[in-house]
Amino acid sequence: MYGEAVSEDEKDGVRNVCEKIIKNNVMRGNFKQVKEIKSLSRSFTGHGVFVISQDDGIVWNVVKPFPSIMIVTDNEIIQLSASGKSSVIESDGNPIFKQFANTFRTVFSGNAESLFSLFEVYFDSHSENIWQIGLVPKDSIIHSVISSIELSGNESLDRFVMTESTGDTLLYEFSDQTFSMELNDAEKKYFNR
Amino acid sequence: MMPKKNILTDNFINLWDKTRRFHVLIWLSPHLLLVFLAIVFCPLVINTDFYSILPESNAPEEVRLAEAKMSSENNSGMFVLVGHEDFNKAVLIARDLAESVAEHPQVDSSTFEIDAGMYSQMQDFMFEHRYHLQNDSTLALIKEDGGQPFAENALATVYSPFSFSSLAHIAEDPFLLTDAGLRGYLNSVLKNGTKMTLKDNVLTSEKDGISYVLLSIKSKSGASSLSSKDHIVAWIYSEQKRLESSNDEVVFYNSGVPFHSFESSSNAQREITIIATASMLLVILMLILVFRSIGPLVLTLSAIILGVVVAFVATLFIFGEVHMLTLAFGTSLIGISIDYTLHFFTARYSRPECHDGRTILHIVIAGVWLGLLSTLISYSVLLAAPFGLLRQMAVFSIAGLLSVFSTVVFIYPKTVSRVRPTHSLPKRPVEIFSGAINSLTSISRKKKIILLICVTAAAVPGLMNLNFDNDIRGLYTMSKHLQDSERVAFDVLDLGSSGWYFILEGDSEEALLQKEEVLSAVLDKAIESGKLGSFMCTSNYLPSTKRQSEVYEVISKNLMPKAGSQLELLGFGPEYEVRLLEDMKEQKNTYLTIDSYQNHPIGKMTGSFWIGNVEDKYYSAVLPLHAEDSGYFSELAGSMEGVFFINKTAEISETLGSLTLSRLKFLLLAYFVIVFFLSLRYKPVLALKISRGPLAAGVLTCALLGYTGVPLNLFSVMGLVLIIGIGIDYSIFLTESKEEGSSTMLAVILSSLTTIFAFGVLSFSSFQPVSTFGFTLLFGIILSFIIAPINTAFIRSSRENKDKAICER
Repeated sequence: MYGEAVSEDEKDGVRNVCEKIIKNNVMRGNFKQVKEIKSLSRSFTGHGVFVISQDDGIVWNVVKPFPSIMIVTDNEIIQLSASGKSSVIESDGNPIFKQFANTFRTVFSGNAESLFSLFEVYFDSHSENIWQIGLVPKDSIIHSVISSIELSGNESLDRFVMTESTGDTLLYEFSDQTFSMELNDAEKKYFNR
Repeated sequence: MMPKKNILTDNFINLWDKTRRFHVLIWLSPHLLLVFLAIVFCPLVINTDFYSILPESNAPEEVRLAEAKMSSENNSGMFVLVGHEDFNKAVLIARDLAESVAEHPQVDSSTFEIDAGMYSQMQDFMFEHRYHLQNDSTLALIKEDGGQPFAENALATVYSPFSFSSLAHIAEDPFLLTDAGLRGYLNSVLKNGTKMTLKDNVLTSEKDGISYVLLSIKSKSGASSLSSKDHIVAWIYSEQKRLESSNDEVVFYNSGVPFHSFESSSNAQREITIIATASMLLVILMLILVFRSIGPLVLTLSAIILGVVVAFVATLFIFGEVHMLTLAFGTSLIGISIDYTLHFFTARYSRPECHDGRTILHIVIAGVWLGLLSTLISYSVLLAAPFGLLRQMAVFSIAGLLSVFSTVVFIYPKTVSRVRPTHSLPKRPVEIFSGAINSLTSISRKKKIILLICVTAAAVPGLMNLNFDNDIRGLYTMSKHLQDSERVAFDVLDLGSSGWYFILEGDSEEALLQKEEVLSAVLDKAIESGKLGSFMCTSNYLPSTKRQSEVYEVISKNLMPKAGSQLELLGFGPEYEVRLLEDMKEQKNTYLTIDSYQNHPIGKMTGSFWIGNVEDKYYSAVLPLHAEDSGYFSELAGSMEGVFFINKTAEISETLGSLTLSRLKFLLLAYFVIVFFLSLRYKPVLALKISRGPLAAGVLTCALLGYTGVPLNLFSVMGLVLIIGIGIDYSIFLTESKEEGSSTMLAVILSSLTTIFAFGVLSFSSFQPVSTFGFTLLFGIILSFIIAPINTAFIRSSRENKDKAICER
């Protein structure tokens, strides 16, 4: 799919998909995560639940095999271990980190214009409902770590594959997604820490 | 008012007579020797660095050397902010500028983009040193519960969506020490307080809708700072102009010492040219008007030009360089040294029938000789100051004056038969001036007392208002465009530097790093209590060997026993545990050293806080950021051995203050030395009476400084010193004048005018020190010029009254 980046006309297709993703403010559901380490020929598979809020940020709650929670907001990344210990990385004043956090947020935010500004965007729509978006970071520092990101789905975002420059991949498969305009009380607690 | 037999002048004349055959040789040999020595041994170095001339702080010698080493490194750095509404355009323009600047021969480096491979370099670096480089919080986590939570956390991170490092090394690093190290490193190395963020490989910041891209330029050491079209700063400006003409909305803001030095140097060069040309033109005009002959004009100009050359060469020979400010101050030499030639030629013109040089010299020698002595005594007050600029100025002026004096004494008498007065001297200026003085001195005693009281009463409020201020910041006024540039750069970069820092000293590199770690621990507490934003130091990135070994031991003790189970949980067999333990053992003593760190690309990013070896000791700097209470940190340094608190602005201001006070004391001493020399020629009471003129001029000048708000600082005190030295000349010349009264008066008027003009022009200088000095002397010389004939008239009239009383008795 990485033939030619989207033309101005094709950008509308991407915008339509993004609208689908963000038609509701909040998306939540289950995820399966597979990290493939090419040099070791090994993979690490985990499961959990996630919440993506356009306004607040993203929560990854890994349940299996080792529980942990990661919360990404505009300003910080918080990691909570099973024992309840938290480590906070502030992105403010840390330029590299801010770039990574921003990239991460943009991919899941469904903000088409942000995607166009940060990535070379490739788009493939097999049929009316199934779509695939390829993203190649424009920023060379980010590109030195992340080669590409592929997003695909139907009515919502169903699959995410990130390929690192080492050839390692990170795959997410989302399922049982539900949508709402606002976070529920339990979810709010993640962001009001 | 007959002077007593004088050992100074009479001996001088005797010596002059005895050596008559060798006069040309005596005059020529030191001149030639000096020029020869300077040409052979001293390359022409004109120092335009206005920071290098500042007085030295009170810190120990080695610390000052260390500080100077760091400053010279930092002072070659320049920042250019390229601003545009469109970030991409700002990047394109910055790239264009960076590329064209990099081609300049004086440029060492022109950095605009950060290496895209930097992140993977950091990962590799941290993987390599994972057993030795871990920060305090990581170490605390590893120690907690025997390392169990740390191990669990690593497992969780493997399965979490995001980790700092790649998992490619997971079998060799199952506890993700690389990840922990990288996190700590990123926190300290990149969280440096600046507002700049990294975008598309460039450091950028946005303010008021403008995106700024940062370009860092470093000039080569030893590059000439003399302002010229080929100068690196001139090149940057011309390139910026080119880019501005093709890009309407681009803005450039420049920051860094070279920009200031370049501007000061350009201004100084322009001013020196203007002042020297104006002074010379006035001299030429005056000589033509007064003597109406080519002889005095050619001889005077030759003496002055030779004097300036000798002054320059002597300064170059003694100091190995001549500072631009010395030349700026030195332009006053023209106005001072011409006095001797004026006295000679007015005496020559007052005796048109005389063809004997000795006779003419005899008329002026006492005045010129004592005048030279008093001026030299004044300059020696500056010579004795522990401040390079003052010493250079003193050497420059003393050498120049001696040269002109020797020309007047040894060469001019030989020209007497050739320089024949064709006109008589103009009488009008003397008549007007003498008339004014006579009408002032002939008033009744009562009126004189009232006048004295009035002058004193007028002076008192001015003296009360006199402001003793040596704040160095008041001595440098930057141009508006540089000021705007620095302000924007300060806002956009927001480095948070307070202008003061610590310098640490250690007997070895290891001892120094350990000392840094002790200070860091204290500074961490200051951060917690809000006294400090953050700080930068080498040991943040390169811990001491002691600390590296400690980290290794903690990892070895707490984590390695869990290696087997950790690897098993990650799906690796027992053979991986064996390999891991062997690797750990092998790496026990592979500490990161300062050399390997500095040569690594990562080390180059962390700036130049490591000063290194200076005089058998090792030095580094620790820079507090976003801190205000300098007193707290100064006390902190005082309580730790080998830690020095450097606040250059405050220290230099303090040094200038104490220098000013000591020069004031020297001024008093010089005054009494001058009185002593005068009393060798005159009776002590008369010597005191003669010397009260410049003293009064000095006090009244202080009052005027008070009224005009000019602070009493080192440079105004320097002016006061010279008021005494130069001002007393007028009284001496007038006292020495006998039948040549009117020609001496003319010489005094002319020499005062040239001196007043010389200092008057200096007072318009854009350099605060030069203008303060010129302003003080301008007032002082005008007052001396007015007071000298009045004082002489008072001395004469009281003498006559006394003689009359004796006769009547």
